[in-house]
Amino acid sequence: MSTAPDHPSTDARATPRAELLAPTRVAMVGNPNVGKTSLFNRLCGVRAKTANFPGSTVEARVGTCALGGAEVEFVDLPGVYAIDLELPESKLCRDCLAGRLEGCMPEALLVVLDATNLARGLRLLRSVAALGRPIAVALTMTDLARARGLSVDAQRLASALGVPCVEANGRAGTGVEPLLAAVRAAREFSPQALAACLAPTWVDETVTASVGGPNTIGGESDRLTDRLDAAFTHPILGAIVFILAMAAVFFTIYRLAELPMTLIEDACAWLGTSLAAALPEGDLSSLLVDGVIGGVAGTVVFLPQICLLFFLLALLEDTGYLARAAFVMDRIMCRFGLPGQAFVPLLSSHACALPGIMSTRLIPDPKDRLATILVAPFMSCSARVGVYVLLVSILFPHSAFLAGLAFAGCYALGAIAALLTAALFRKTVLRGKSRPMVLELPPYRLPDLRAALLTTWDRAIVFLKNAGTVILAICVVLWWMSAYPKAETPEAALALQARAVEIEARAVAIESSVSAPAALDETQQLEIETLRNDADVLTQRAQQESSFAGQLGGAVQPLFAPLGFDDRLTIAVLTSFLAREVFRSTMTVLVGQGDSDDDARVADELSQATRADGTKLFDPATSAGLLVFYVLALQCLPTLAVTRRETGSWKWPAIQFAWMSGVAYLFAFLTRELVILAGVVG
Amino acid sequence: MVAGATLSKEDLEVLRAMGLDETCSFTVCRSGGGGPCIIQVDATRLGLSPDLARRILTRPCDCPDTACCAAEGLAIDAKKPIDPPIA
Repeated sequence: MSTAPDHPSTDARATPRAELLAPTRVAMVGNPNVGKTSLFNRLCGVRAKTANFPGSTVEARVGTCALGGAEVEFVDLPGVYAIDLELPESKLCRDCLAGRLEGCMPEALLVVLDATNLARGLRLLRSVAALGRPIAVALTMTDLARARGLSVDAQRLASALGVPCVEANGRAGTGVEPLLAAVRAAREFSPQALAACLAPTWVDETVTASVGGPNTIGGESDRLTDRLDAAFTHPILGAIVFILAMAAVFFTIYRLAELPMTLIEDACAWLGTSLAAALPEGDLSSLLVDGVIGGVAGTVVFLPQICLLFFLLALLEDTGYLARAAFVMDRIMCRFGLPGQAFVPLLSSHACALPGIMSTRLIPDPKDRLATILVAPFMSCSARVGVYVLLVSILFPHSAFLAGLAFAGCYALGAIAALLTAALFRKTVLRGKSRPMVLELPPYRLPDLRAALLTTWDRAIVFLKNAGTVILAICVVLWWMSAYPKAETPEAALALQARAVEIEARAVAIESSVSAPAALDETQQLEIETLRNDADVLTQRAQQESSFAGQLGGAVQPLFAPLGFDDRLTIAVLTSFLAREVFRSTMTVLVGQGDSDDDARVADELSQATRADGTKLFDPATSAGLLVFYVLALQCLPTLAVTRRETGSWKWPAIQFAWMSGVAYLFAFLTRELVILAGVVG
Repeated sequence: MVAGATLSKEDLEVLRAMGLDETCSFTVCRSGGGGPCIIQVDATRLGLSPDLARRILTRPCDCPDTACCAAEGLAIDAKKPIDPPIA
């Protein structure tokens, strides 16, 4: 199937000259949905990585492939309809092809053309040929074209274009070797003649010559596509199908991710315990166990969910369904200034904002994508659930119905805040016209498992790199803020420890006197355990209060006073920036008897806590305000780190943080005042 | 057939690059009824937002599929939008 135009060296593989001229970097260019990435995956496999270029919000993938004993770098550029459009992906292609991207100067181009839509691809080919770089052409979708009655002839196309042309199928892996040979031979052919084909009829003539003419394309009606589209894009039926599909996706994610998440948690806990046992007690042990392992584990635990989400989304996208789903959801989302594609990232954020933000890459328009990133953390993620349960239990200890209603209300409030914020941002900071909502609906196909796995691998590596760099640094800084300066062990804690030692010594003395080695009785053991636990809680409390985080909490407490927060509540809110779950453990240390798995006990302890003036700390007004604060506030530094990575600037995480914190503060204050006005007392 | 469009230059360029230019014929696969609509240009199906569809003007087409278009009440009058706004 390898074909080349009439030329002295049609068998490029056999010519030493071709080997000498083999390019070392090849850029892959093509329209969207032509099978370009499948071909790239087939060529490079796992030897590929995502490349972000400075100043660009779109990305390309770079991978290597062995060609004639040498390594050739392939750059999979984003799919474009034309390189001269004022769109980010077109600009990236222009910059890459013109050699304006550092370390990304292609020596040859591999242009991927869809045989079922050759005319559009040829217009793109003609424009990139004007750059004068050697070109090889990969003709894809030939099976589909033949099924539609087209007579695909790569040889005639090669002759018409004057550059090597090969039929290739990235999914099936056919035509890869001839394609590599064509790439190697590309330098032997001049694309100048191709670029000079300016006649308006050139495209139609070429299509006619190689695939049977434009009128035959799509002439055969596709009844199955019609029927599926009628169902999937129907305003009501389509929405039902979409809800069912998303329910299936998230049910699968939650069910399948449960086991690996538990394994990761257990592995991190084991690693922490082992390190703590192996290292002498001190700062290094605390840094590694509490700061590094404890902090990173809180993020890495979401890796299974992220992998499953991207795997399932890649499958859905590959089937052609996701474009239809975006089409259906556009009806609803456009009312809030968001495109239909924004629905999936927002829904994903209910599991964790990190994969939700990462999946915004589905959204083509940069402003739409940015708006979705900025509002995604409003959606109630799984890390908030623990805080919701605790506060709802304090608010409604005797009514499961009201507690359930409040719990559901938290989710609704987050979603409403996200949509209204998106609408506001699209009219203010992200004002401006989106690209017109014109969406190509690719043909329905069976998904490519290999491509989905490679996408998942790529996303997982990006996530782990982020967790191992920015998030790790944040965890270490937060650990340092909680661990320093070191507090003196309180007198009361020393007294409790001394009392425990005394009981133990007395018991040992009695055992020695009767010369009968016996264990401490149960009452003594329990007493010693309780004394030591109380001493630990007092020591931890002193450390929390005197640490930099505690001092900061004390310093900013006046700011939170209108919300009813005292020093301890302010410290708990600040420390939960590491992870929201930390709120519970911090509060139990500061006002209770230490952390416990017993939700009811913890809720009961906290509900009894009082302020310095004797009033209840968790009165209904403060608890309701705190609950609203946790629904709306962005207390997750890893989310800010991912936002920075996806937007390429600290400006947007700063806006995101400021806006969400401001909204959370305002609505927490209003909620507290309303509850006080309503006269609800604990 | 597409007869023209009341769109910005940038939007027009995007549509042209996608194959929806002034010379193309297309089939309406699903009219929007106030929502997005689907058209087919050559072998490619495109979903268009209602705002965009209202701005693309069409001319009657004498292809065999005109009956289909007529059934949808579309592309009958010269320079009528793909998806006219609902009165």
